[in-house]
Amino acid sequence: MGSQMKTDVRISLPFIPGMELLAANAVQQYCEINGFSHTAANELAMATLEATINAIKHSQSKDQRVFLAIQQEQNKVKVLVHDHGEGFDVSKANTEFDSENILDLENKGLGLYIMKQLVDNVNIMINEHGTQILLTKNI
Amino acid sequence: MSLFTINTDTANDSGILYLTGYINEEAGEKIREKSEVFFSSGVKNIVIDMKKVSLINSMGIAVLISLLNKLLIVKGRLIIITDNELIKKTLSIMGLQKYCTIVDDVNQVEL
Repeated sequence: MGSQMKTDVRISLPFIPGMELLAANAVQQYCEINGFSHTAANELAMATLEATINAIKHSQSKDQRVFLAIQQEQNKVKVLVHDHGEGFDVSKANTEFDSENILDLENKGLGLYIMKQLVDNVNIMINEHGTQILLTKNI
Repeated sequence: MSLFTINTDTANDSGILYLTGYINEEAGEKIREKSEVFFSSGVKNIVIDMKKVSLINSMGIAVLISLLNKLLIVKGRLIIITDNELIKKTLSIMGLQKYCTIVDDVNQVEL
């Protein structure tokens, strides 16, 4: 999502409780305005909510903001959730687990796993500029 | 933001939680507190009515998992009422349906 297209939506949100709902609502509305199914819109919105929570809770970003970019590419919608923080240890997040042992997971991060189940691709990039989580949903 | 509310009731040996709004970490803590009150009064089963819940995030799910662990100890069961497709899908991808009963309507609940 390097170059900005005419249909891009860009949003900057402060680290205030509830902002994850604003992010999710924006994605849901974007998808529905563009004619995507309610189910696909909801699933991408939920994944966006989790990515936004991740930024608010874990990034420790000095600017205290999370940035959202929404873009349609043919039959895909891409959502980039970006912060300027320190990133997080992906290896400590649950990306895969055995559902037979779910009861062991109560104190562990489940957000990344939920994101991966609801969208077609999750790409996490962490560097000195912050963390970017790119969510791609095929329509 | 959808306002979270929680109300409680009991029936037989079951505690019932009526929830509305968005279940996040803060709401999860309230669920945890009310459940502790139920457990300390000898309640064995928990029914969570989520018919008016719009969304549950991963921290809300973590609270449900915590609740399931407590119910395993007292050999009780958890029943969740919701007809929200996204919530049902989220519960399902976490595998919660293996450990609790998820129904669309309160009429499907037998206490």
